[in-house]
Amino acid sequence: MNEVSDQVLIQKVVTLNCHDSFAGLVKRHQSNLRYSLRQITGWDQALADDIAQETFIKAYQSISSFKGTAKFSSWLYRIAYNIFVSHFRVARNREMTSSEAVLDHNRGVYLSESSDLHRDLAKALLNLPPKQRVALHLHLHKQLTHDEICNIMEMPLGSVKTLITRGKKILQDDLSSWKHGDPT
Amino acid sequence: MSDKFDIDRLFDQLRDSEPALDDSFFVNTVVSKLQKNNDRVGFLTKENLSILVAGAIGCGVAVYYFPAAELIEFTQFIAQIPTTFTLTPTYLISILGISSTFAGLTYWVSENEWSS
Repeated sequence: MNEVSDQVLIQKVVTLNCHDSFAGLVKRHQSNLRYSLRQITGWDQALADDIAQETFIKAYQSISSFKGTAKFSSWLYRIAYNIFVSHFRVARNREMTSSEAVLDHNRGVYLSESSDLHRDLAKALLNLPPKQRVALHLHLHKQLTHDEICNIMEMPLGSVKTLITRGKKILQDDLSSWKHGDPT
Repeated sequence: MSDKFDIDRLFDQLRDSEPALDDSFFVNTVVSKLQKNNDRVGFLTKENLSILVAGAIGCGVAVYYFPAAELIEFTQFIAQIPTTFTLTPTYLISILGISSTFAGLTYWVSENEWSS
């Protein structure tokens, strides 16, 4: 059976205000987006799902502005990235964000070889600033090109490359020490 | 053996084992929130329309029963509107001060989360 393309579903949402078509888009993209958000929030599932929900609601409200020049998934990531960054801007003014608390609590976590690997890496990423986390995740995990990352993060190519290079170095050092550290 | 951690191999491993997150509850939550938003927009539109209609009826009734416009000398009212405008340094500084304060206040409010 042929699957209806994103573009057809988007057209239906724009012209007919069809909730079912939008639900189809949510169903198709939610897992990827929610997983990415979990990775960059230190596996804070509640926060990641809140941001994902807000992302889809904003996407629905402004879907008519989607030109189709980039992939729909990239457009979603761009919305999610803006919500994620504004969340951290608000959180910065508080005494300590929940993610920072998780970070302090999990310093020295041993990198396991089990299914917790996803969770462990998400916690390791918390050592990096939010923007660096996003750039690194999109590049190393999602294997997006530098241009796609520039488009999502609305940053110049040089800045994105610097974020990735420096972030990779920090993460590599962190993971090396964790691997050889004491798992207590 | 190198002590360098192979980060690319780790991400390959992560990609291969990336979990597919369950969609049913999440999709239902998003769709129900969209429905709520639509209902809210519909309610606000109706509310605004009711206010506009009620305001127009109120104005009509007020003009009919209290013809205050006849008491106001229109030419005198027009004459009160200044025709020339001189920008003095004091006036300019005052405008800059007020707008800077307003901009600063707006930024401060946007940076602080307000809870009721």
